[in-house]
Amino acid sequence: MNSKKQNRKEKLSKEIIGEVIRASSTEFETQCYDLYGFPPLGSLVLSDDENPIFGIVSHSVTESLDPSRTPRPRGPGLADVKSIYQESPQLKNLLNSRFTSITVGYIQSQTVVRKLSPVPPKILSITRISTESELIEFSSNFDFVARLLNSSFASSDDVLASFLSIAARLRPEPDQYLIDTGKEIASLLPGQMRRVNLILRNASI
Amino acid sequence: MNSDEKFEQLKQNVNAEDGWSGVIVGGSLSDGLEVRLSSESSIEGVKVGRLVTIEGKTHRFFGQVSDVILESSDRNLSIYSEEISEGIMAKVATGTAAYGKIKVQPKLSIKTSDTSSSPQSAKTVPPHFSKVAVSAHSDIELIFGKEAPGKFWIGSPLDMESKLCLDINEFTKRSNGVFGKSGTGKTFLTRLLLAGILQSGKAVNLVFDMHSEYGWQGYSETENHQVKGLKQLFPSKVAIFSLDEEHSKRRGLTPDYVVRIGYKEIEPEDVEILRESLSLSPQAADAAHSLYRHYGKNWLLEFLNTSGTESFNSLASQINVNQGALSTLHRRLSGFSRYEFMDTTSVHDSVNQILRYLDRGINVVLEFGKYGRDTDAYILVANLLTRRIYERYAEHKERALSGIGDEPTPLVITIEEAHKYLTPELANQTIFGTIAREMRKYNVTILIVDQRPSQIDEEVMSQLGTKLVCLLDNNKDVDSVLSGVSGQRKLRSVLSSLDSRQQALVFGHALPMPVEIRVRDYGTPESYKSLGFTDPTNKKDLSQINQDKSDLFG
Amino acid sequence: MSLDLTNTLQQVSDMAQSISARENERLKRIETAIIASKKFDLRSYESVRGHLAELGQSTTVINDPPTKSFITPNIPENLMVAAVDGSHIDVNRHLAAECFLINIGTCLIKYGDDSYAELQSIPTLYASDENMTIRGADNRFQRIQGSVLGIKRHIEELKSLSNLIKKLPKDIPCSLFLDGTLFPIGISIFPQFVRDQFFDEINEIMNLLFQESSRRKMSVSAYISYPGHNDIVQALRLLICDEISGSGICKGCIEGVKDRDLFYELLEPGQRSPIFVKNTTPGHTNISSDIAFFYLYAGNEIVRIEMPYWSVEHNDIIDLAHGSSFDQSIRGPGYPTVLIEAHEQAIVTAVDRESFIELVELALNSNGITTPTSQKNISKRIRNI
Ligand SMILES: Nc1ncnc2c1ncn2[C@@H]1O[C@H](COP(=O)(O)OP(=O)(O)OP(=O)(O)O)[C@@H](O)[C@H]1O
Ligand SMILES: [Mg+2]
Repeated sequence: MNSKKQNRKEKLSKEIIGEVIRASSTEFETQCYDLYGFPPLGSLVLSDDENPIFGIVSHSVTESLDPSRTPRPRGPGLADVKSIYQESPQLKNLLNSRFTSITVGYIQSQTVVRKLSPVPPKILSITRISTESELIEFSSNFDFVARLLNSSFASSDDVLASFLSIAARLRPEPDQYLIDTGKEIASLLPGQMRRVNLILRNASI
Repeated sequence: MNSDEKFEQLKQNVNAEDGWSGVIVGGSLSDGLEVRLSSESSIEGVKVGRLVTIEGKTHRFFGQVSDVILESSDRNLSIYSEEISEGIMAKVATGTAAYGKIKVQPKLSIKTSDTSSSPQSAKTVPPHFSKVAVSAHSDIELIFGKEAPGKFWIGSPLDMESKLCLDINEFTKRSNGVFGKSGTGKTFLTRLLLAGILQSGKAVNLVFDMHSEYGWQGYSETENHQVKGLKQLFPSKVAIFSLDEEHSKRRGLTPDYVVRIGYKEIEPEDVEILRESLSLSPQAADAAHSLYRHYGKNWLLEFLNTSGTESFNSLASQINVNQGALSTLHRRLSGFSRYEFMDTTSVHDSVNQILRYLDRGINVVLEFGKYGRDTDAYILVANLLTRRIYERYAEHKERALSGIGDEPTPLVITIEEAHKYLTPELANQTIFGTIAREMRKYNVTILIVDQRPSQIDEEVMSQLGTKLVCLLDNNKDVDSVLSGVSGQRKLRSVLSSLDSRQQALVFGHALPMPVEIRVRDYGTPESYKSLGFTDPTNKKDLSQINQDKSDLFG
Repeated sequence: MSLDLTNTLQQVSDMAQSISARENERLKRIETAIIASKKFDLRSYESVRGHLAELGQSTTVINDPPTKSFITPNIPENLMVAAVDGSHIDVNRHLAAECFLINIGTCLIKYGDDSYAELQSIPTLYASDENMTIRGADNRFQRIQGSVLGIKRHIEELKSLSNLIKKLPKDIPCSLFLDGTLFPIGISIFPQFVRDQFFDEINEIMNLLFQESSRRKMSVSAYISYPGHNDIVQALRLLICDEISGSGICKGCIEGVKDRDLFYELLEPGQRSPIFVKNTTPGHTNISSDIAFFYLYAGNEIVRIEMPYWSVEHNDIIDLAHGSSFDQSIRGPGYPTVLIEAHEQAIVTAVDRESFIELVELALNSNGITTPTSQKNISKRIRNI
């Protein structure tokens, strides 16, 4: 992509990373504008139309736009992935990165509601990464923990751990934050201290 | 407000590192309530005996922690305890998977809306999820009353700063007991109680001060210094009588009166009470009565003056008593002649003197001096004087009842080593047994200070209105102090967990509920001051007094 | 009755034998062709060719011996590569509306600094009478469909290619690709007025390309994979075949050998043959039909690269075409990446076709036109049980 074009795009979407292409009550999928433009697992994102909806990135995928065309390995010897993309710029046009976010809440008249949204986000509404203050506010109440643990999503424990690790880092005392959420997790998972332990261990790295 | 919010609020109440709170999760009125501690709580901050307040829907309940339990919601916790015993995880597990539970015995309750009356004994329990927290000062005041005239601050509930008060009026309505093994603080506690009674003016004290520690200068083992006696704190309200003038003088005290006992004052009953300590057979004790019948009032002196086998033989046959028994009695009673306070000459005025002071509302402390080490002397004198005084009180009271004159000022007689003469065998015969059983029929009650309550007559024990019990470690003693009390099992665990000093379980008539206290400090300048004592040698206090005077008299 | 396998087996083995016999024969002829190419005499050929040209036949101009090979040239580091490909949906007589659709896919890749790619597909619907017919002066007309539509599409591809150039930066060398031959084949069977129309259009495009090529460094390559041409073999025959006559059939020499067979033996991977020029109009060059071409050992096969005839004068352009064709075929791999992507953009799948038909019917219906869809079509789409 030429540099002029890139600049324009960066300004336009400081934190906007893509658009919703699939939405249900419990999760929504965003296609990224840029290949590999997805936020890290566990990030808090918002589908930001007139009813902003919070999601936690739970699953990211990069694959061929055309399911019948699979990427071809470039063969041994090309260790440097970056140069492969430099040499085959069309890859950026043929592949796409998408990520699914578990719906964990929404904003209603300026307040954060930590429940499923009454309606899922509209298709093609923009998705953006939450700001630090949004993240701090959202994570200051532990209701989201239950949403994540109860989601049908297979690796939800890891997603929770990633989210906690991001949220904890914004706190003056990250360990205290993990302890507080840990207690919530423990109370939601009675008799499963080993699982709780695993989540927290992953979160504290 | 839902229970979650309640809990949230509760969490905020937990402040200090040893703070705690919880919610009711089960239990019963009879077995106590189960309380799950909040995860913020420090289980080490919970102590058995602690007073707690339970916020029910319509009532506020008051109770006491009776047990502390470690619980775990994860059956396998022990298997991977190692994994989670450190770092963040340990803190997370604490209060969640591994949490503290306590048992609380509900005792009292009061309608939340009720602001005027005092709590009644609890007839039901608060509902699930009611919050439980350490009672606040205001709760303690609500239950036990505020410090005020007639409400004497005796100490603080365990781990609290609040002043816990005893209703002196209720207290002096019955005989009471202070128990505890040696060195646990009975004397200090008793001294405080005496001060309380004295200050209240509801009653006067007569103290048979075995070890000369109430009236003038006690001794603190821990601080290793002298502590002031009652006379030193309240000079105008206390008179010290002494049985051993020399001893008193050595301690820098001029007694208000030196007690003498005439031989004629000793009655066969006084011998009876000493039967055990003198190792007398029943026949020998009976012989005293026979002698009394034979010789009359002067029987003892006459008997002691009898000497020679022949005279004995003839006396024995005259009064129809076994000769061996008679000579044994003679041998034992001749020990009395060693007592310097015994007087052959006249009938003495000790009883009248004591009564004269008591009538004026002045408390009398009788120091035994060196005779404190001689139980026989103590028993003899205490019993003899009490009997006389009681007789006079009875007359006085009877007269008052028939409309002549005022009632006598209620009298509290403090006695030590009661287990030596309130035994099941003797309790019926001694004056103390009578007083203890009669309640305040003639305005006289006793305050028993003793370390072996199990040897005291059961009935006497059961008649005691209020018991203040310091640490006891003999099971029989514990049984005897708790007999007839409800919730024995819980109180037993409270009792056995008391500190070895200056802590007491207080229960009975004068309190709405049993309570474990740390006894008010005694012996420091501040403690004297809090009892109303101003040191005349202290310039600042002196000027304060002058100031007060000028305030008073202009 | 089931298949009689024993009987079939015999037939199959007979067939295999005859194939292998024919293959041996073919290899012999290739051998002959190679020998011929090695002996190829430029001057003798030019005189024969001259005669044929005078007879009005189209000929292949050969200026270098066919055995001469050229190694892969370096290509510029900063390079634009672009390609166009197309596909179409033909007129469907079952459909209520008569129309066809041409979908042109383009791909543009910039290599070197700040590499990027742009992929695009532009569908165009032809539905009006005027759009769908070619009219002659004497009221004759030709509906555009079937093979005519094939040529129409080819021309549209060329148009898109020339439009694409406008998007390309002037200061960077560009290598443009087409899939298949440079000029549509099979035009000659159509009536003159149709041919004229097509040639006019091609002419216009070629003029445009010609002008552009003077302004920038630019190559246009039509990339023919597995080419069936035999221009060079024919040229060899002119020299070695005794029986050659006007339309003579050479028995037992190199008949049936394809150019690719020959160059497969003559070239090493990456190498190209000399440039040949196909001259269609004796006496002068024809911008809309004359081409320059060479063979290239690209990937695992010999491919034929056709270029507008004027390229022959510019070695740097030939090098650009040679180098980028080879580079692209390696990237492909096997076939130029840029063409693959253009093709992917252009492709119309079966599902797309269905959707297109539905879309048309929906549009017609919503405009109040009942569509007397043929029963066959209905049954194709109603698949419920
Ligand atoms: N309320 C108190 N204030 C200050 N010190 C106290 C108090 N209670 C007990 N002590 C300390 O404990 C020591 C023992 O107390 P005390 O003499 O009252 O025990 P006791 O039960 O009367 O013992 P014994 O049975 O030997 O008479 C005291 O000397 C004093 O140091
Ligand atoms: Mg003592």
